[in-house]
Amino acid sequence: MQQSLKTFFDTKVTKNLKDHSFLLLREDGHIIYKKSHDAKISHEVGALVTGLSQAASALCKFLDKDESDLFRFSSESGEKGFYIIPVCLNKNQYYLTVIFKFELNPSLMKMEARNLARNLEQLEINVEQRKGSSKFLFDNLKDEEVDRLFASLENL
Amino acid sequence: MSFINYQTKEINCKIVYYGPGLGGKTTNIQFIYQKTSPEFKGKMVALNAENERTLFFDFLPLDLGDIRGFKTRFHLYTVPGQVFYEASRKLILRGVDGIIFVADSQVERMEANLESLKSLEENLSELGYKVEDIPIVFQWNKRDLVNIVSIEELRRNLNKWSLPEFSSVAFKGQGVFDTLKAVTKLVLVSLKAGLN
Repeated sequence: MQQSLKTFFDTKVTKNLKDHSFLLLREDGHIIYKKSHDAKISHEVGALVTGLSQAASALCKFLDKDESDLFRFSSESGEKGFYIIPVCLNKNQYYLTVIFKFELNPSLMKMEARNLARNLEQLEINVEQRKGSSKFLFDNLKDEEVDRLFASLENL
Repeated sequence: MSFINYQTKEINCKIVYYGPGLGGKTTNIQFIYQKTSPEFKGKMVALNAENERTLFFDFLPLDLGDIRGFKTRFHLYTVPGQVFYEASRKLILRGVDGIIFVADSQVERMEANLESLKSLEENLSELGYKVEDIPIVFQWNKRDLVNIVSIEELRRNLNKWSLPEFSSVAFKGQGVFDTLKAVTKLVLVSLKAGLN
């Protein structure tokens, strides 16, 4: 999946978009794919974007939203900001987020971002799906193994 | 729902701190943030009102290190405790893998604990979960105060499923990591293999 997404973003991101950062997020805020040179763009951005998107989506229900309506979310000053587009992959909801700076033509950028989102929905990617296996990933997990995880974490 | 990436050998899970307002949910993750070495934590996000009460959520990403070859990353969230923010709580529970219910031990907060637990059950049900399906741990917080109910009473009123429970004084850190460890273990053992 990572390779498919890398190939997609490497080949489909247009010249106008190439200096911006992209995040593909699950509904719960986990980052599925990140294309960015900015180290500050990390998990907290994922949590905030999905929080915003879900709150905006809940608000849209007050507008008698129907199936054909596609809402996007943006917060921007004109030349810099965030643009969030919901995308559907394998029948699951994801969010494509463009984080842009020094953008001279935000309208064109947004149109191209929407095209990118449409193309992304056509992509056949093998997103992990639970297959109902009854096998557990960590059989017989011991307390000591969990303690070891926390031993390195705690700075007491 | 947890996200397991077999290619990069990474597991991402979401833990939510739930409970009544002013019960100590934010204090729990603030203590974890303060006591965690910088290389294992990301930036803590707190969306507060002016009076420091949680408005939407607090968020803390933790990299717990490797277990059996998998790198584990936990995202800790708190919900806003005030009754007014029911819609926000429902949103934050989406995709949850484990819950810590932080109960306030004070006598006068028992009703708020019960109301919050009822809201948790209803929200989980609306999202298609049952309490029995999700790793949940109870934390009896504020055990250092004088006007508190007994643990037996908290258990009788709130923990009808006999789930794991811990006493705590969150602002001193007592019981904070024990509770997190317990829910972490339950989440990890509940992860199913067999993903494609």
